[in-house]
Amino acid sequence: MIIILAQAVLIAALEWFLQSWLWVALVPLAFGLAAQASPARAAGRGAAAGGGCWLGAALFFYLTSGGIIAGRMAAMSGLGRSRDWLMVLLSGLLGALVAALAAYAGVSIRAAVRRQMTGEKK
Amino acid sequence: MRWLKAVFVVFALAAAIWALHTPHGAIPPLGKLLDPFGGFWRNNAAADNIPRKLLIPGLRGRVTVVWDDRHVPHIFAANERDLFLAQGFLTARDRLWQMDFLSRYTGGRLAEVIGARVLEMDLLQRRLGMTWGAENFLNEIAGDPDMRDFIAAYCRGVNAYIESLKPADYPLEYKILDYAPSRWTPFDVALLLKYMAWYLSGEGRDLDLTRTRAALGEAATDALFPFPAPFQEPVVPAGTKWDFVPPAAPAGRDRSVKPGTDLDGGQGFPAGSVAGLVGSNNWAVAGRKTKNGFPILCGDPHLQLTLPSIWYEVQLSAPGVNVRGVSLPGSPGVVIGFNERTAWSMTNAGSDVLDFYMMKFRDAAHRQYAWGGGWRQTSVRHEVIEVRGGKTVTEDVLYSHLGPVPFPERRPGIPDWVPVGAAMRWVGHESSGILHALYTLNRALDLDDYKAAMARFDCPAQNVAFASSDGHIAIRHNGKFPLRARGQGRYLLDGSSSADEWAGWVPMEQVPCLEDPERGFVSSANQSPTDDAYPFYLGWDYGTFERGARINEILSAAASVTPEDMIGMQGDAMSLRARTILPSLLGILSPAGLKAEEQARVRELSRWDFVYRAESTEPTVFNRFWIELVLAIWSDDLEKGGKLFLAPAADKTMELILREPDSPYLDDLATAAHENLSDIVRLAFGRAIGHLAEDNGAFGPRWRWGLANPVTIGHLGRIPGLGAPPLAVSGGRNIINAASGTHGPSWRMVVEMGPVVRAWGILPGGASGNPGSRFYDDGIRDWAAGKTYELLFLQSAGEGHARIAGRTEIGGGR
Repeated sequence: MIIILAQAVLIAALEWFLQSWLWVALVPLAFGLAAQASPARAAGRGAAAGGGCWLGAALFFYLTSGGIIAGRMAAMSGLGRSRDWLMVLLSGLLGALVAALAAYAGVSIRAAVRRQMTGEKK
Repeated sequence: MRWLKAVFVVFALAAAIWALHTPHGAIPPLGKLLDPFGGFWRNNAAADNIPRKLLIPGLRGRVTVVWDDRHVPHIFAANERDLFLAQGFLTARDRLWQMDFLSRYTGGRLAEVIGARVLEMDLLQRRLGMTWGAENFLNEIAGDPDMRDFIAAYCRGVNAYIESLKPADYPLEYKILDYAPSRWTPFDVALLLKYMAWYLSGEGRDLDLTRTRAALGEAATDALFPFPAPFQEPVVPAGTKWDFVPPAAPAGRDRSVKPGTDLDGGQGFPAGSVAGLVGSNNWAVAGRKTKNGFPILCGDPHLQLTLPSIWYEVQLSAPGVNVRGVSLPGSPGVVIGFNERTAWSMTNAGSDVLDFYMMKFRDAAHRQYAWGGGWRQTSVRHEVIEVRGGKTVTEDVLYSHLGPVPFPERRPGIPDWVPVGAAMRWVGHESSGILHALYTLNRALDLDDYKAAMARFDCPAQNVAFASSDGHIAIRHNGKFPLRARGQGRYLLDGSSSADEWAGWVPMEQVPCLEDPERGFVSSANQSPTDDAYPFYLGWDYGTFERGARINEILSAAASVTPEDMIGMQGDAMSLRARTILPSLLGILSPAGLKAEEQARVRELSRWDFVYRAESTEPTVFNRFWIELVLAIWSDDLEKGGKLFLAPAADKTMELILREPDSPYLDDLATAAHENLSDIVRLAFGRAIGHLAEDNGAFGPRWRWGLANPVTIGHLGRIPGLGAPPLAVSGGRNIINAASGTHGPSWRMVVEMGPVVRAWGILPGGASGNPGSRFYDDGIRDWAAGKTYELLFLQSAGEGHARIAGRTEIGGGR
């Protein structure tokens, strides 16, 4: 849980200050590289962190001042303006998918490197 | 195996990131866009909050902005330079993408940010010489230090705003299209002014009319496209005496292109010509006809309606100026508005300021062209267009001394109205004093100041109505008009003969004008400026008579006029076309031979009061009936060799029906029988009812005017979801409230010029260009209902008012 929270906070902070959406991939990728976890577990943590972070932020904007823009984007997407809430889910879903894939990639790289290093020792 | 898996997953991640980071055709970069920290979520209504303090680098003094309840900025500065700097900053804050898009569109730089799919659009703008025209404008400004400094200050304000932005703050459209704003320059300002000039005075029907003449002969063409057109009530009333001595106009001895010239291309019988174009209205009523004894000025310029709104409302106040109205986003000053002493509004003049000359090139290399018995050299302008995701394109645009030759040779994609091998001479390409004219108008204190401003008001030519608090009203059909023989430039001109070259300009002090007329009002609605007694030829293709005549009818009968009366008049939905023509048509439509359904519609039309109410079905029936009638009368006659040419205007069609019932044009050439007016009318009515049933189902609520013909206000960049839903509006083409299809009143304004100026106005949109803002489209519902808001016009930054939403203090910094 702490790892998920740490990732989410780090994603939010880096995106806010460094102005790039790519942190939702880079942070879980780094955690995947660093942490000892199964690929599925790492991907789950990444999804929870990235998805939670984006869902939470989108929900915050939606509830405070983003209802109008969400409606317009829903209309642009063909969902219909009244389904503005779907944009919150879409943001959360995309954040989760990207973060999960990145975390999975991180763990996979880590596993491949460790295997090679272990093999070399043998 | 693990390496293989790792490589595969990393590859999948990279592919996903690339796919989400990059636009794909019309699909925006979804990763960036859905990111709540930097994507569309940041374009929310929080931007509507009023900052208490702002910093604009470059300000010399303090500026106070008072925001009213509709988010309109009222800017108070200590000097004019700061005023324009702040105007640039605040306009960009609300409308940056709109400014950028229109400048890119006009200057042919859209492909740079959108890609090859808009390259043809860019190429056309370059070939039409828009960048050349903008450069000529800047050359004029270079000799006008005050204007140069004010434009520079405005640009500095815009750039200060751009520099303050992080990517997350970019307007939504930048995020959807995935590009960043670039620096705003005087060249961009010039391009915007050229955009408006082209929109209001470009294109033309020279090619179509010439092809019509080639098919029908000159006498028939002149009869079908008469000038002045029938029923007209000119801006300057018929019979007005002109007390000046005009300079001699040229003989125009060779004012037409030679027979046999290649006239292929052209748009043929355009659907739009059946419905007619929308236009603008303005009028001013003298104090002796108003209840309070003060002049009242009214204006509603009709343009294509978009979101963000075309205009940006603003009040600009500094020592020597306190002006309120609407500005063109991206350009300094106020275009239509009022100050404490004067008010003005514009309608498009419609006079002909663009001629095409068919050139005779010496050979296929196009290096020389015949002129005045010899050969002249062409020049080439290298137009470089950056293409996003593609190779840079360099287009060599050919120029003669008359202007650009957009298409020396036939090629795919030539616009319908551009003749191949023709040079274009357009006033809009010349240097221009339009910005200086607006600057002077913003500060005008009386009639003399208005006239001084008009002396530099060149292109686009406008009917500028005026009223002042000292009791004057006036109107001028004002612009830079070529000195030509009567009818010269109506058809394509011979580009090898110097006899057709423009011989100079109509003196600015001799343009059609009317001051303090006995009838107690001035008005215009895009109709002919004068009768035939006016000594200069200005053009022939003006608006039809209906709106102008209706305005004159109401104002002639009016007494004790109030601003509220004028607001109501701007929403007038009476169709003079229906009132003029329908009784005669109904007289022809006797019940015998009509189906029961058709008889029912005839009965309803016979009881109709000719008012285009949104909830009525009669306007829908009459409108379709008229379209079918025009098609039935003209399409067969104008069809030659499989091609259709220009359709006569509605007023000519009405004249034919009312005054020439035996005209051979009424016979349908496609049939062996000889049809008369009665046959054609019955045929058209049957078709109209049939088509309406196909389009709207059986007669019922869906036939209501507002539902069957809604007004649509789309997004400027045609991005789905960012426009407004269809609107049911009372009014239509050729009606004072000329809201129809995608066009309509882009700003309504009524100003009472008393000791304390009172004004009302509304935009079909709002102040903000942010689709996530409450002020993006907050005026649309009331606009559709014909309502207006009283305009806050403050005398000082400290003045209190219940409708003030907040204040921002702006300081300079570095």
